[in-house]
Amino acid sequence: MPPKKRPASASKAGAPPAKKAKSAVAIKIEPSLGSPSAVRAAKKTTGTEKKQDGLKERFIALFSLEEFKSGISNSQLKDKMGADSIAKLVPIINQLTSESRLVMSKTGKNELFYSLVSADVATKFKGLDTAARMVYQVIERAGNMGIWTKDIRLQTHQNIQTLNKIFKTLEARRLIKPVKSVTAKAKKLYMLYNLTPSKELTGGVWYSDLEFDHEFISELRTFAIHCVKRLNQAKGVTLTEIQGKMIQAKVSRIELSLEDVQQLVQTLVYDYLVEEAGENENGEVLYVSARRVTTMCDFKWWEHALSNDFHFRPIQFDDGLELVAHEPHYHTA
Amino acid sequence: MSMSSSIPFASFNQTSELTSVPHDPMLSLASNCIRDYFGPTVQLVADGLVFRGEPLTLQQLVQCLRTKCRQKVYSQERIRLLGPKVASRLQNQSLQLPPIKAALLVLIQHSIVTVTVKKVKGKLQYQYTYDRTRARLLPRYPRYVEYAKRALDDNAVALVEELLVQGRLRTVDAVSKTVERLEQAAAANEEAANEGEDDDENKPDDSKKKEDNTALKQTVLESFKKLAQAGFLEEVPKMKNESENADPDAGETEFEAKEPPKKKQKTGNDAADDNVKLQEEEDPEIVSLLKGSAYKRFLTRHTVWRVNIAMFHESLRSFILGRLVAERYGHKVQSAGSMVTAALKYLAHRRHAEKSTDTEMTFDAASIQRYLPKPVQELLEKKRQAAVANNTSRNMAVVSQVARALQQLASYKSPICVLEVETGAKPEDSRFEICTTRMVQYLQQRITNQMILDHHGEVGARIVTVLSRNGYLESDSLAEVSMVPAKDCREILHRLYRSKYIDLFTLSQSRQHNPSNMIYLWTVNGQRILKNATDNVCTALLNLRLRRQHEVEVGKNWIERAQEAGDMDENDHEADKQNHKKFCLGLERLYGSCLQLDETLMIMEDM
Repeated sequence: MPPKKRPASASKAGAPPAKKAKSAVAIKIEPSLGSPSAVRAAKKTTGTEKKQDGLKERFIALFSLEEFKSGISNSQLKDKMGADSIAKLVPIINQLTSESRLVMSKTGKNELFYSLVSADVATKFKGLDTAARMVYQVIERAGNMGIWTKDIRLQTHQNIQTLNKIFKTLEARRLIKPVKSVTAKAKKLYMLYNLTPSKELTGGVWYSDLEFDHEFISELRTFAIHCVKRLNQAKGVTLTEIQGKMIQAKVSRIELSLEDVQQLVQTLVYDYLVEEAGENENGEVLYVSARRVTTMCDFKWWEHALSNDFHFRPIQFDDGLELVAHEPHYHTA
Repeated sequence: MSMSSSIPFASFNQTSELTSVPHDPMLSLASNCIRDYFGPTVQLVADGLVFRGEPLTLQQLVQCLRTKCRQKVYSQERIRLLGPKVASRLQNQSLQLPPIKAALLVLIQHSIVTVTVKKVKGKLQYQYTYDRTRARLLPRYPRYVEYAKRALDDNAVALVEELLVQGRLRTVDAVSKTVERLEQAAAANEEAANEGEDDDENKPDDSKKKEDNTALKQTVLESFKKLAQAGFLEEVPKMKNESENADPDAGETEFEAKEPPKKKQKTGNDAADDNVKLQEEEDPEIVSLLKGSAYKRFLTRHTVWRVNIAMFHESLRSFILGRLVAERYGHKVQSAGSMVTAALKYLAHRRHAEKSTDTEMTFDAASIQRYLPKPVQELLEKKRQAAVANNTSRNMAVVSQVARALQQLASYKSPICVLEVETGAKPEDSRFEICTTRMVQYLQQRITNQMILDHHGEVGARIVTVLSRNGYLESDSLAEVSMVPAKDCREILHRLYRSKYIDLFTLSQSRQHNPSNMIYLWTVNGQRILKNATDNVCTALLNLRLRRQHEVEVGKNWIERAQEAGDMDENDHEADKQNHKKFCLGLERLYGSCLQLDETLMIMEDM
């Protein structure tokens, strides 16, 4: 005789509980096993789910409020949702976290802080494993300074092959990007895709393609000296006026801030080409052309004269004259 | 004949046994100057005085020299070539007492060594102190002569030149030697002008010559008086006379033991001197002129004179600082440079000619008026006349204009040149002071900047300026401020550090020494950079002088042959002519460079 079928409700010991169906379709219950309490329990589950969904929507709606746009702390959540709902929020929070829609962090007061991630961003994280998320978090922490590959490896304890795969994955999803630094052109730095590299990495406006642009700076310096000499009948120009003239003349391919212009003009001051000459009525410093001073130091060939073997060196002057050791006299007689 | 065999024992030697090692460039330069002008024995004695670093008596000096400069061990080969008598004479000659005394006298004569008399345990002791600054000034004598030429007349130039060459002279000797020099120069010029003509026709007769000679002596005396009154010549301070403190147990009598008695130089305006018999070498005409009322007060017969180097330096400084003021503020204040020069000349006159001991060197506009150049005085006078013609109420007297200009100058701070120390009711009542130190410091700073610019480039000079204004900086911050790539900045910093223009300051972040954990800050020390710049100037000047001396010594035969040669014999070969020309040009370049460096050294050290 074949064994009798066990009732559907009975479950084997140790076996994992079956997943409950999400839909509101009632579970078929055999008449022999159906009872009013079971029916009542089923109806109750469907209602709970509705309440959960409502709670979830309320929770998500909180983040659209102006005050919680950047996130909400645990205490603020308690205030808004009420102490009773906090316990019910736990599964919702877990669900959202697993979908990468919610990011948790800690505030300075050691309190949990929740930030909602937009759906399109969340899809980028979809399918990423723990290692990849860890790498992403490490890179995110570095901010706009970026982080070297070696440092990522040290912090995540991943081997290089795994890391390279993760980098490719993250780059493909446009979550991170590689950048180079002017201080170490051969090394690779990673940072978040939407961040602008800091000035320490790019070098600022004075660098182009990671190379210091000497010609550009030289052109700007010459233009600044020209402005100082010609504008306002050489009685003095301000940084604002110089900046304005630069924009007008389109000397620079990129926009220079007032700080950049000040930095440039300051180098002219250090070179004794330009000097400060008081302030105008607005309190702005005026710059004038520096007057030439006779320094009484006409000697130029210091490098030769100060060397220890000066006495044995042939001396070559700029006009081609060379002072060498005495040649033997040619006897004509 | 090759060069090497012509002088078998010669070697280019430019130091004595006691030349300072490791060398202080300034001491080495002074030592080299002494050797160049007075020879190796005088250099040895000077180095001996430096070696101990304190005033020495003659006995101590001789002992030091005999101990430190051990006799050279001559090889048998040398004794065979020279002969035993010559070899032993050479061996002992340099350390005998007479040459050391003679060398010491030369140094005293040229004021490179000063003598002080002390009483130690009841005995008189003469101590000799070396003045290295004075020794270093020997190559600058042509500059003083050039200044005398610009500021005074030809007779004054000849007088200054004679006193510089001789070191110090009595009045009569100074005048007679100057007259001799001028007559020789005139005769040489006349010979050159009358070349080829029949000499007998143009030769003046004896009476005419005597008349010219007398007139020349008078003009020279007149120039002498002017120089003395202006402070360019000074009386040598009288050395204490031994007989004034006669003591039977008196200590060493310096230059008399077992030597024929030498004339002691006396100074002072003692009327009893007039009664002293005329010495054989004294010119009676000059002596009688000195007795005249015109010169009796200023130029006494037995006074010993020397050139007042300090006055020349102050006069040169007045021109240099005047030029600085003219360049900085000349476009804002008319004749600013001339006014500052006039003020400095007035103060120098007060200090050296009037011997004012007043430490406060202030002046008013009226006192400097006569020192203003004539064109400036005329210009100010024209302005006054124009103001009078236009009937302006403002006081446009020359003094008032000068005072107002000085007041305006006092408002400028980069650099500060004039301070108004007392404000009067009217501008002409105000008193002013020239900020000489500040202006000299400014000039020294600019010179140091120029030196670094020439040696290390524009970026090096900029980095030093940034550090001197901003204090301590890390290399990355410095690169940002100076607008240079960080890598280039580090390279330049290390070169500047090696040249000792900048200093490195390290901050450890832990108790353990850990270079990777340290903070490295760069900085500039104002005094140190100035000292190093001055040392570099001295080193460069010394090297150039040595190179020039070496070149001259090596090429001595060549030069002599070229000088003695006629048009046909030597240097006929084109290559030889070209080489000789290049050689002479090269020597000229070296000499010109020495003059440039000496000028720089004058500002850095002697102003």
